[in-house]
Amino acid sequence: MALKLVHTADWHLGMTFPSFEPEARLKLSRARLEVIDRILGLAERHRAHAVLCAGDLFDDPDPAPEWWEGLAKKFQAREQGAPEWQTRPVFLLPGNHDPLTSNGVYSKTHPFRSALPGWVHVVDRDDFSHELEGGAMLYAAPCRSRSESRDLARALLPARSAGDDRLRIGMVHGQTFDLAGCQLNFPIALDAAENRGLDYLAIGDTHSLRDVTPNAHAPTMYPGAPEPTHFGEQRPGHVVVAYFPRDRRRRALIHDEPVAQWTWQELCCTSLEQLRELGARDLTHHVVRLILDLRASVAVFAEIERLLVEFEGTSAAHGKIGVLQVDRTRLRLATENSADGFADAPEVLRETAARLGALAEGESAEAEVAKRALYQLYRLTREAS
Amino acid sequence: MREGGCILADEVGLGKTIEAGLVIAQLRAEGARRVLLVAPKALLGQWRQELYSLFGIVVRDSAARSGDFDGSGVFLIGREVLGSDRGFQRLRQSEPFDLCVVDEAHEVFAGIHRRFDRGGHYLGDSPHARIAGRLKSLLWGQTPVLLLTATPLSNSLAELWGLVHYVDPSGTLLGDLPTFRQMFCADDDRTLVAGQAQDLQRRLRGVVQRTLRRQAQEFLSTPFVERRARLFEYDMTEDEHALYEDVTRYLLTPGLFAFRGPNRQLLLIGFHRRMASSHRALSVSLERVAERLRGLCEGGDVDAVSELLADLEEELVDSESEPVREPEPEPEALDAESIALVAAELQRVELLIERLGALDTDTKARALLDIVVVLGEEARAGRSSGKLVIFTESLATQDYLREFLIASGLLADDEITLFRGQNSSSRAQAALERWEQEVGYALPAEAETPDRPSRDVAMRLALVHEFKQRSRAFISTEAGGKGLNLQFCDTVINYDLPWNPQRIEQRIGRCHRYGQTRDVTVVNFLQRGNRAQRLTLDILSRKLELFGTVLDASDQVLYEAGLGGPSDLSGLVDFGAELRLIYESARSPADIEDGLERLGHSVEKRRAEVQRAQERTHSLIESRLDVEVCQAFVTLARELPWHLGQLDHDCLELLRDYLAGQGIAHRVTGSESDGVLEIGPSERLPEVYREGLNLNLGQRRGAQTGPGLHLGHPLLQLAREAAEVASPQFRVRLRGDVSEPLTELRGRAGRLRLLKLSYPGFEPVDRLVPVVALAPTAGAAESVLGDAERQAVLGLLEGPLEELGPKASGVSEIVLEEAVEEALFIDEREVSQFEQELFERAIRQLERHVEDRILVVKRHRAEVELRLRGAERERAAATGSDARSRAETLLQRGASELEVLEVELRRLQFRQDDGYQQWRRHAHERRYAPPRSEAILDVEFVIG
Repeated sequence: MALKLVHTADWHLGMTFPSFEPEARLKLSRARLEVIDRILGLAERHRAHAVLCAGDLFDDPDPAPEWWEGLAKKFQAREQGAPEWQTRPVFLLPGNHDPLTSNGVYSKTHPFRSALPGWVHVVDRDDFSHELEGGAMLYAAPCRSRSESRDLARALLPARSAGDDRLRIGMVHGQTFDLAGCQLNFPIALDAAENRGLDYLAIGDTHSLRDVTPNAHAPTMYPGAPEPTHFGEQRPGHVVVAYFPRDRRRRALIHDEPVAQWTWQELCCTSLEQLRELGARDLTHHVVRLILDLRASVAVFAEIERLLVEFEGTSAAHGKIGVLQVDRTRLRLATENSADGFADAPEVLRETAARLGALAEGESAEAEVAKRALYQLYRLTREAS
Repeated sequence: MREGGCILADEVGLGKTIEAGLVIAQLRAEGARRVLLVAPKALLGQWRQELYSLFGIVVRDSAARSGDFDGSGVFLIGREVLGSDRGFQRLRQSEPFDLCVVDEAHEVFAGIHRRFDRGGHYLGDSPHARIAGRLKSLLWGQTPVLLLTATPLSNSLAELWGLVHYVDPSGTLLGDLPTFRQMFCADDDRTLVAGQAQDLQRRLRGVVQRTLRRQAQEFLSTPFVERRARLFEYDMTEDEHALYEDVTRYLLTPGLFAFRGPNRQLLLIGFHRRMASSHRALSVSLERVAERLRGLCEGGDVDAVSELLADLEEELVDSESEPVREPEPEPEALDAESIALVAAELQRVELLIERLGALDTDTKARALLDIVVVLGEEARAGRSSGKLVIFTESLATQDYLREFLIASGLLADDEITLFRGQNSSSRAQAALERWEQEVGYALPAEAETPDRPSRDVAMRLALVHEFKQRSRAFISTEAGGKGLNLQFCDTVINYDLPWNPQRIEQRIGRCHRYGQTRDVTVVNFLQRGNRAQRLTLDILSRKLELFGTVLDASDQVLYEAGLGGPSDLSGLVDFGAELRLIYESARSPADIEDGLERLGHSVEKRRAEVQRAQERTHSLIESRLDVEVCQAFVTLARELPWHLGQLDHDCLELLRDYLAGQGIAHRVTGSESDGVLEIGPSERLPEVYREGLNLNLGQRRGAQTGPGLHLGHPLLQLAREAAEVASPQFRVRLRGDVSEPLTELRGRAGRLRLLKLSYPGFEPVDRLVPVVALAPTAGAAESVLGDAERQAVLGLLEGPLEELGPKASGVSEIVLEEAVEEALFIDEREVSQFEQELFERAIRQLERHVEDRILVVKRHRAEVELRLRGAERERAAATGSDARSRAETLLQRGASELEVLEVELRRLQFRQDDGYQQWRRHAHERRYAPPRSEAILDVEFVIG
């Protein structure tokens, strides 16, 4: 019988996103729990034989109760809805963010463990193994600390013994050797799967979807984070569904399935037109870091501020961008023609603007204050008229 | 469709009936058994005919009798069936429907928002929008609906909400009415909150589909043509003119005995209309009036109303605003004075009859002859089809014109086809028989299938056929104003004009419709010097742009104008009622002219309003032809002929296999693409075919020399049924040419399993997936074939084949099952991408809905906070205990209100709302339900 597995990792439940506004934080944190329904849904859709969760499921080894309770409830709800979950086990692997510790969320005495249905297994032994559908074997080893230089796959997963013709799946958390500039914490050798006689090595840690060994018989896969966590991640937002033919000589078929609610994107605007075009796009499910890299007159500056309000939303209308972070460090106010912006203002304001314009020349702190004052004066003048 | 339905808001003229027919046909093909089609009474005939002629669907006319709604079929009902208690009860007691189509949906649903109270709660017993309420209680949330309207938005945004709400049972797209109003409506629902257009457009995109004609133009093989107005002005003779003036004066005289009674208005107006039609119609009317007056003198009465209605075929009247006939009371005996007055009136009328009889010229009819002559010249010059449709409201005029045209020698008797409500003449009967011989025989016989048109539909088709094939002129009463497709004719003559602009539009629409290749000429008559006629025509042509402009402009106004819709359109809607009012209240011809001037101004004003509403519709509801749809059209245009050819081939092969299996002799003469399938006599054929039959194939089907083979042919249906019940398992040798990539596999045995994969999802899909495995041999292991080899085996399976005895193929069940599983895994990927998009859309809609509510709560919170700050200031400034305690009370009340709002806000922010959870679960179930797989064919084979 062929085997089908759903492979996921790096849920980072409990991640708080401190650089965002409170409401955005809430939205992004909530999405982390919600994506689990999608992952388990895919397991149902494919009638997968097991769900492998390859570490960093929590952002912290001892997460706040709302997170582990939330996760346990997701599993409990499945159990009520469909009895076949009894035969569709889920394996939770402690990663370097949520290592197996004596009093952490995965410890046997933690209430999380007792809240889990019987078919949810925690990899809480170095020699963890489990027989899957059709005699296939799962071998897994947990992280026990935040950092370690051992290759858990090579060190802890048993090698294939002679005559063993079963499908062998491995699961560990860590970093493969091939990424330049990466700190080698929980390293995983590229030949670990081959070395241990595995047909598939399910790994977690990197948040981008990647088949690390596309040319090898046994795939070593990062499914990536199912919901992105940072800007700049390559292809996050997926889980892997793997199909293993009964004929072990054939490589597993791999499908990546999108599951993320949010798309994270860094956008740089160098002109007002680019910014306006942004407003026409549907970015309501995007987390956008908007870098404003332009020099603007007071009038353009005011228009930019107006557009940003439109993007962020008001009490009258939703924002056009789901979650917005604006980087204004490269937005500069052009003061040389600032008098133009006050042409129809009363004399006293025109004079004030001219004085501020003169003060705003240069890069000094005083010039910076003068620029802000000039812009505020422009804004107030516009509002008043 | 499955998630509630959608609104098809295409511009008029793009063929919403056809589009709806396609949806009905598609859903029926997907297994829908019961379809409810709700249309305005006036359009029932058109629906019936178009569904039959374009899709072969025979609707079940449902008049709310017991059993009318039982079983399968497309049930066509007028709205009044839903309006009647009996009809509604019958529908309620019937089985659920699989699809409901509502034509002119804005008229049904525009007011449904009035069935909700201020808090957004539905009021089941509300008196507003009764039919919409009944549809809601009957179908809502259970039966997908297709709403057809060209004007989803006329005045109030709440109307749009009403329509959308109906196709979105989750209620999350626009939210409940109070939330929608908070988010989008300003100015008493008349305008959109500034800055919200884009958001609303985006939301509507998923449920409202609107395409404009200009967008569709590039895909049409026959582009839309224009209409050209030709005004034919004629001069009455002095005698005619004087007579008409005197008849008008007579009609405007107060207290006429001839028109006394509850139906005075009906009679007077009818007289005015017939008088404008023809001498004959006027003559018949005057005779009838005289007869009634004579009856009154003798102490009895004459049923003048029935006669009048019969001549104008008024049983066809469908507008709710037109006067209804009241029962005539028993005639009262007249006193001597009255009898003297009646006698004087009779004398006046008899004099008019006498003068009419003495007229030797009918200038209007003569003008018609001139037109026929001109048209003949145009046809000879290749500028016209040479055919013309003449519309009149009066049966008397219809007969008169026929006689007049024949007498003139311009047209022979058989060059004229008459069409009226009851077509029972011998000419009509002969036309029906000819149609039966030339066309109808190709349709399935009534005994075998119910899919045969009723006599009424057949007669309509027959008379149109007669006109197309043989006649030059088609003289029709209002009965032919709807539902006939006369696009082969390009001249419409309004011999008289109805007072309802919609009827005029419908008349023109018979010829000016998709498929017309020439510009359509619309001819109207105007008696020079008749100011009232000129003013009326001016309103119709200039203000309503009925005749002489491109369809685009006229539609916009007319569409709004014509259909007796919401009350706020009444200013323009009831053009007819306004005219009636003018004629009824006028005491002199000048009064009529003044009234018409005023009407012209008010129509102008209303027209501007309608145009504004249209502009708003354009700005809010994106009109678009999806890129995907455009691509599909291009692909269809390129590939359809091949696919249809393939379908014909498959049909023929299926039938031949069936005939061979039954031992029935048959052969093809000519070719498949242009030939005949000759089937010999056989006892095994259904009774009507036992003598044998010939079926035309390919392009020969267009020839009218015999029936053609088509998908719906009863014999083919028999063959299909036989194939479906045949054993899906057999063992054969594939005797066809074995070539690459199977050359190396010659002699190998194997097994083919054809799977039907049914994906439930948001948009259910069935897919056929073949799986082929080869048995092991001494030199080769058991193996599963790849795509190219699989397709090659399927190709060989089409024949020739040699049946083999029972012997296991050697392919193990486990290998085949695994191959099936792998095929399913691969196939799944193709389906899931689209499903994921629909899933995300559903979830986003849900999220946006909660965000709407959060926004509304926050606004409310800000208001309460403002009040609290005011109360705090009041408390600080309070000088007496009363003022202080008043401020304290306000503060307490505000604080508890704030607390409630905070709880609500938190509940929403954490998505603890039951409705949200329920619809989220629903979306997840749709997206992640596993497909069902069924083996529909299991073949063991040997290659070569």
